[in-house]
Amino acid sequence: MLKRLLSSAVAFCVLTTSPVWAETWTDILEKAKGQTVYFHAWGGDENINDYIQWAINRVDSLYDVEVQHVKNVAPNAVNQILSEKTAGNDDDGAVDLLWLNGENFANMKSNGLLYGAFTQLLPNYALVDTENKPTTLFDFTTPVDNLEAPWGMAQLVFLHDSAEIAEAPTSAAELLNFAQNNPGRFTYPAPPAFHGTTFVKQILLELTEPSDALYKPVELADFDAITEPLWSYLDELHPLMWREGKVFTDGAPQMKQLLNDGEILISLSFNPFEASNSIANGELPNSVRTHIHDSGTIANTHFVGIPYNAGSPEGAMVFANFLMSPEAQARKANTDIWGDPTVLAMSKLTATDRARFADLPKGVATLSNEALANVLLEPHASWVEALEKAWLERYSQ
Amino acid sequence: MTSSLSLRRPTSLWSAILAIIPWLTAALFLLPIIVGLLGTWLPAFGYFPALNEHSLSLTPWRQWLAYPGVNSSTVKTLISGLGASFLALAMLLLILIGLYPSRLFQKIEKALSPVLSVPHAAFAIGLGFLIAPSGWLLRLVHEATGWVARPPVWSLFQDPYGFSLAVTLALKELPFLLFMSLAVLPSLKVHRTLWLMRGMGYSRRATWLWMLWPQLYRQIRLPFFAVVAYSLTVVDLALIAGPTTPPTLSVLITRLFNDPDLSLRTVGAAGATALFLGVLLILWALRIVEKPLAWWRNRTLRRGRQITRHTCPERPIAILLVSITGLLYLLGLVVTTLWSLTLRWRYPDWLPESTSLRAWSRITGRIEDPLWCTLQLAGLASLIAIVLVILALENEVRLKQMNRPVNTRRVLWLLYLPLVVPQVAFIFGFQVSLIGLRWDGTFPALLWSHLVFVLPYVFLTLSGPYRRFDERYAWVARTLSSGPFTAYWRVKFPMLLRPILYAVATGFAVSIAQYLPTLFVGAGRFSTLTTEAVAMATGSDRRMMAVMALWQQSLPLVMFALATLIPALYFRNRREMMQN
Repeated sequence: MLKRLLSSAVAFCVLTTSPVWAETWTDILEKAKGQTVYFHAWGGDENINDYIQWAINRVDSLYDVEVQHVKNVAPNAVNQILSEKTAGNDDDGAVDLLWLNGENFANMKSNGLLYGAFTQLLPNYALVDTENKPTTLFDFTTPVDNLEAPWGMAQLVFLHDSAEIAEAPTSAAELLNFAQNNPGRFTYPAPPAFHGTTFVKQILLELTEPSDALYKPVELADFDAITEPLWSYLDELHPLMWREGKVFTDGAPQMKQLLNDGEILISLSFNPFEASNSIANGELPNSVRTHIHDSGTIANTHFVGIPYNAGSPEGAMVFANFLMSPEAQARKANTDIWGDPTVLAMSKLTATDRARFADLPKGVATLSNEALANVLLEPHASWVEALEKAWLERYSQ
Repeated sequence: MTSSLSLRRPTSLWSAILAIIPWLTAALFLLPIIVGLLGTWLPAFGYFPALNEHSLSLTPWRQWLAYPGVNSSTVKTLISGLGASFLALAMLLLILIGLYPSRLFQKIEKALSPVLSVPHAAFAIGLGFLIAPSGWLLRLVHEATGWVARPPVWSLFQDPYGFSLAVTLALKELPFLLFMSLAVLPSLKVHRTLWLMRGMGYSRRATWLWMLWPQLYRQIRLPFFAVVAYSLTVVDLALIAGPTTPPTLSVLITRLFNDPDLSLRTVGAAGATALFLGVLLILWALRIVEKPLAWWRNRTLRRGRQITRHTCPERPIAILLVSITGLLYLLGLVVTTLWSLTLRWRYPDWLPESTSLRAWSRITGRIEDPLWCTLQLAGLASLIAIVLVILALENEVRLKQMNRPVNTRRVLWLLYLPLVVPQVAFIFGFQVSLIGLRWDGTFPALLWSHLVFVLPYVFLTLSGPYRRFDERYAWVARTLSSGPFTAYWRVKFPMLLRPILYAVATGFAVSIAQYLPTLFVGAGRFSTLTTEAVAMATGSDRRMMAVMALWQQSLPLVMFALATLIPALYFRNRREMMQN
């Protein structure tokens, strides 16, 4: 499966990677000088905000590009771009760069809201581990086509309080078992919140016989038959969940609070370093540990993209390139700073740059690389909408 | 003072300015809403060129009606929205029957402004900290008794039907209704009515219910309608205290507008339009139902059914109600402050395990720009609003003097449109028009969008006391001074200083609370205390959330404190002005 995806990935890249303009990196650097870049990125985590501020200062001193962090979530940024398209502002939009992935990317791509292929122009893009990290080329199976620059790796992990749980459940079945023994102590965010949708996809992948159907458009599959085990599982799980499955959290951040409060005993995250990171800054107790399911867990990549009407696209490219630099990526991977896994391939780095990563603290609650290597691919992007709709029809009436 | 002929006629320029003001004000503030509504209605009927939808159709409406959970979401919206409004109204009535007029009521009056200055979201966050299953109240219970060593699995907060949302909203709207009643109560001659009716054998309760309340309601109808509309369409508070699967309509609509699937924008637009029509329908029904109620009341009173005197349990209930409300506000503030000073804090500890100033120091380094931007926006918006409102009210006075029917009051009714139209229903449309003019992301446009919301509240707050002003003072002043401006500035303005400053403070607080307009009209170029606070609230770090919530509360609090202190200082030698 993975191999087939990879080979088609390579084929796709060869077909589609032709620069929009024959611009060189020097031209871009020249044009970028003095530009102001509005970078729309979620601002709910002060560690990430601090990191972005650091990157902003670096890019200012290295390239004379001024970046402003607009603390805005991707959907709001997409709304801004849509409004601009409606009003006919096609050349000087308010968003120059935004943090996105998955559905937001797929929808922006299909509606022509993205700038064009640009990552092939960025020197640091050559360092990205596209070979072993297929999700840097396929964002929720949508071909990236150089339209967005990989920023960090994500993998669904579970957080549990080891003071309360001796052995963490490592499969969907064990999780149900845990809920039966500890009613009210587990929950997941309600789809369409993306952590919630990811949990639903994870369960679907675990309960379904390995099949190609999940990696093809949902219209081609017998949706009802394939998802039947998922719904009967959730039907059983929900009454055993926090607030009896009648109230849901709105995302992983709220679940982290509930874990700290002891209202729930298992939470989830897209960042494998989250537990260590949160212990370090006091948000979670020292007893919290990370675990994943034996079948592996869903992994993906998050990116930065440039809208079609960005006012300072060159400045945005310079900033995106810096975000992929070994310097920025190593700092980002540091759990004391942010703790977000790198997109770079160690083999492509110089010895000095490799050393930046080797010395990083790992954190007490982080799984080993070997344990984390067990990854599942996202189902085809069209499954997201279908699953969310079916979920809402069943559980949000 | 025998004839008004001795009045100096206001200059014609002055009266021309005054004549234009209501129309100008209304036009200026209606424009964004009309344009914005159009910008929402077109997509609601399938016209959305940016997504290559060029033909009109009813598809979005069909999709909206078929969207999962719309029916139950509607029921929850009605429970929480109408429940909150009527609960707040009932609590207001109870407090008035039990406590007005009394010494205690005067104390409540004094405590009102700090309570009013608490932003909705901050109040809900504080309440959540208190009564969640792992909240502070249960921690205190554990500390005292040793029970509930683990947070219970049941909860009073965020129930699936919207009851807790209704109560949260009602507790937040009660001070507002109380505040609006303060302006009206003196004109009702409550004390004398109660005295008279008691002599005829009627109880306090009967007097209030049958005589005073209908008069009061008529005068606070408009603020009450604003409360109804707000409660039915609130987003931020519903996200914190409301049900989730499905949420209330406004949250559902916001989610559709924010869905990565861009085609759901048209469904969201249809939903927003439906919500707008629903709110209008409910307000219309509330207005209509007044007539049969009045008829019924008159009939009952005419029949002369003796409503016997009985002991009045309202007083203790009202005292209890006021104490609980006050306590919730106070404890919410205390627990928020505690969280802002926390390093680690878990259940069941009633105090943080370790404390730190880290959250404060992290924010202090970057608060300067948002703080400055907030001050500029709120300061200018409330200043412009107060000038326009005073001019509009002076125009009423002018028309009254000319014995012309004050039909501009009808124009000013339109000002309340922003309070009735759900923000989600027009803010996107307004944004599109601003972008079309390339005005988006500019400070004047952002200020304008704030004014749309600030102005009605300033008008709402000031119009009562202003209209009650005894115009004979102004006449005397004019006969004694050199001109209308001097007379106004030296006599009428100082006499109205207290309500004017309160109106400014209210406008200030309203401006600070704006999130969607700041984000969308400002195109993300302007960050305020509120955009920062909302950004923090999307994260998991309660300590940072608490710091931002406190920052956000502090500015309105300072303004309300100034609005109380300045008149107190100014009138320190005027005994008559100190009272009231």
